[in-house]
Amino acid sequence: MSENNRKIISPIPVRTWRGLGVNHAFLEEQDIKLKPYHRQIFEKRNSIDEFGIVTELTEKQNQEAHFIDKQYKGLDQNILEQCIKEYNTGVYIEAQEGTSRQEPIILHYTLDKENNTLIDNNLIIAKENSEITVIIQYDSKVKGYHNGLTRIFGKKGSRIKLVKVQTLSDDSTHLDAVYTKLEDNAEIEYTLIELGAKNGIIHNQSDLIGTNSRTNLKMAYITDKDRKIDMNYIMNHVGRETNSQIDVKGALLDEADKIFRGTIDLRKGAVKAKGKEEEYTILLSDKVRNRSVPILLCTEHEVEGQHAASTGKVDENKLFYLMSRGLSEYEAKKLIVEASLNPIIDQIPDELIREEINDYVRRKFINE
Amino acid sequence: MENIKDTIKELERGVYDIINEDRYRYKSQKGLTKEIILDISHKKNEPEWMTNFRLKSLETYQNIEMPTWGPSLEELDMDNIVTYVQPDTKLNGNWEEVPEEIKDTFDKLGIPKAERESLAGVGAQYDSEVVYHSIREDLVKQGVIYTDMESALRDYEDIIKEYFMTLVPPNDHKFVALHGAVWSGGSFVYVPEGVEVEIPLQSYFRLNSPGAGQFEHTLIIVDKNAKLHFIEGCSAPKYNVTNLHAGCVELFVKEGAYLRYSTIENWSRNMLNLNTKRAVVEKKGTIEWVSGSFGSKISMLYPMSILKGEGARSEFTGITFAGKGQILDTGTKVVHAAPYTYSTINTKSISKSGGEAIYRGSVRVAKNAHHSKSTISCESLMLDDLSRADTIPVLDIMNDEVEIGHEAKIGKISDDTIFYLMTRGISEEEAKAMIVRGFAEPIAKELPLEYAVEMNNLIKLELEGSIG
Repeated sequence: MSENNRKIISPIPVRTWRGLGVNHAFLEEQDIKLKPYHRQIFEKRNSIDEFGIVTELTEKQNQEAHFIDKQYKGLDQNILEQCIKEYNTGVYIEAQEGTSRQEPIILHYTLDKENNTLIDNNLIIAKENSEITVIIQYDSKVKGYHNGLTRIFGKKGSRIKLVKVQTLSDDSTHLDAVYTKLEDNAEIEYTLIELGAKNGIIHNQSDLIGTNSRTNLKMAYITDKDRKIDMNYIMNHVGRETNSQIDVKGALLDEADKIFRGTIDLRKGAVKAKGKEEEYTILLSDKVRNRSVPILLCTEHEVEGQHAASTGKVDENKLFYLMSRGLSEYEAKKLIVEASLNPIIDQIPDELIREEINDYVRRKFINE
Repeated sequence: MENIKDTIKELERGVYDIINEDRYRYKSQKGLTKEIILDISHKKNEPEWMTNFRLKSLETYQNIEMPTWGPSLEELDMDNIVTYVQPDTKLNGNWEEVPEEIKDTFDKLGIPKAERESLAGVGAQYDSEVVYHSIREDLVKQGVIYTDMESALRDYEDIIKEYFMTLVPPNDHKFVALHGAVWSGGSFVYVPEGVEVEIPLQSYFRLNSPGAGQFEHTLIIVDKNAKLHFIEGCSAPKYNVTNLHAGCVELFVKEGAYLRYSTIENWSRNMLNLNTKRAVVEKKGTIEWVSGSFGSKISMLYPMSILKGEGARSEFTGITFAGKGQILDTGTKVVHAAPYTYSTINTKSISKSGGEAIYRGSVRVAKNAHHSKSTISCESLMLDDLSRADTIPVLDIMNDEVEIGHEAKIGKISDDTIFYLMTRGISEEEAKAMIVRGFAEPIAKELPLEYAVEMNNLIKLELEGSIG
């Protein structure tokens, strides 16, 4: 589908009034020349050890990702197909049954002059009762195009931590889809940091199929200038006693445009399921646009679902206090935004990456 | 504790289901054509501008697509809807002159009794036309106008021309366009500057004719610093054919004025209720909506408040009860279009026996609406796992000097609470009913007493089916 030169992608599970512009995300049509991507993404190439496997994704592994829901379209059929059929890099990670890998696996995708088109296809399989942490970083110094897909299969009793940090350049396109399927007692914790890109369109679908499977999604963003960010998070509760939580915090500056769309779908049979979403937005300019669509769908009565969204200006009292202590207005605002986002950033189990993020946030405020 | 299973029975809707013989003086052809529109307009002796307005709306209707969201309206076949049914009576100012059968229906619904006891004026519409209208003498002396729309178009043509469908233009959506083409009946109220109408006015809409549509238009202007409470009630007996209600309510709340608009809607379960209500509120004015949705097969109803003047306020209090076979897609829209505007939304929905209750809302804060505040709270109660409760709100904020808070909850009746009440000697049925009444209580207390009683009776009726 297209509307003028804009492609309509990433629909919400149920539509509402068209005039509000929240039924879809919009992507400017652009000519993407598919090019190879040559950079090394992780430290040890093709390692196999007692904890499992970390290799470049092979075509065989790519084809075998059958666990994925047949209905799954990611952001859009074409964008998904680009990742599955035309990916120019990707990683396969497997956590061995019953193992617990303490060191996070870090995948670092950088866009540079020679490699400014990134189509990554990552597959993470956590076998029964395994534990694994994966950090995926996207950054760039040049204008680039990123379209990524990460498919995750949490088998029985597995525990997965996925950290994604995006600091692409302010003129890059960032399309990102994560699909997770969880079996009985499997759990995934997401820590998602979105700071860069001109147009960031993010999709996350978690299918809580197994009994007592759990997701916990924490997301932090700062969007400034005339940049756009669109989130579409979908938690499908299918199994009994499933639990999901979405917690999104962010700050909007300048003429930023943000849409948060979060759906908790408590389906019939998901007895004793609990879903909760919370969103808090700090507004730092009167030219921003802040849209939120926190959807609850429910066809099972033995459930608890709730959402809360709030929006407001930086607390005047806090600001006044900090400024009375000699901080400039912007420094004070920076401090307040940092204080709000840090609980999420602190979840990242890598000090170096935390430092990088903090530097990046600081620079955003110095530029003003 | 074992989950409480609900059993479903067909409900007795008592007085609401009284069917009168379909007696009419005139009934339009089924379907929708230019000829039918011209026919309606001529029957009503309308001025030419209104005839043209209808024809233009018809054109708009034919060019607008069906909504791309919400419940499916597949079963709506406009070729089989009768758009105009003139009851076999004239407009009466004296209750005794209303034909026996019609009077009897309204008597059973308690309309004249309510008028005697607690209302300042009453209008009663039967099918497409208003059959009874009355207003207290003292209000007339103060310049308050309360009359049916046809009379208003004749007696106050300039005012109608100035306001009619300006707030809800026919190109807004398909069913408003339809309304513009075939509207009939409804009420016109004008409250002059500074006049406070202490006792509510009420219009009651009754659709008796099978396979018909009701398209009443309500236009209320509350002038500067004036005050009004208006109550709207709706019902119809059940037939096996689809009836359609596509009314339109336009409320103009002037500077410093106050309007409360209360509705208890109990259309029969074959009704598609596609009603449009909108208020525009000037500086320091207040609109309060109290909305109870119990009936109809499908409802799509989202009263909208446009806070146009600085310091304007809106408050929406709604309850929706969706039973077997019902899809009630209800909610509200607010536009903060001026600084220092305030809105509060408080909704509750209950779904049972396969009913679907959907809250759909939007709150928009325009660029200039600094220092605006909005508080939104939506709660849903699921009584079984056959039903559906969805919450689909949108917040769209374009200013940083705002405070917006939104909360929603979905849940079931806690087994622990029922168990506790049962240990206190209360039966399971009564315990459940108590909890539902408690859930609805914040809404009930916003209603005038007799309506609160009616709502409690409706809840009781609805629950008897499931608990008995």
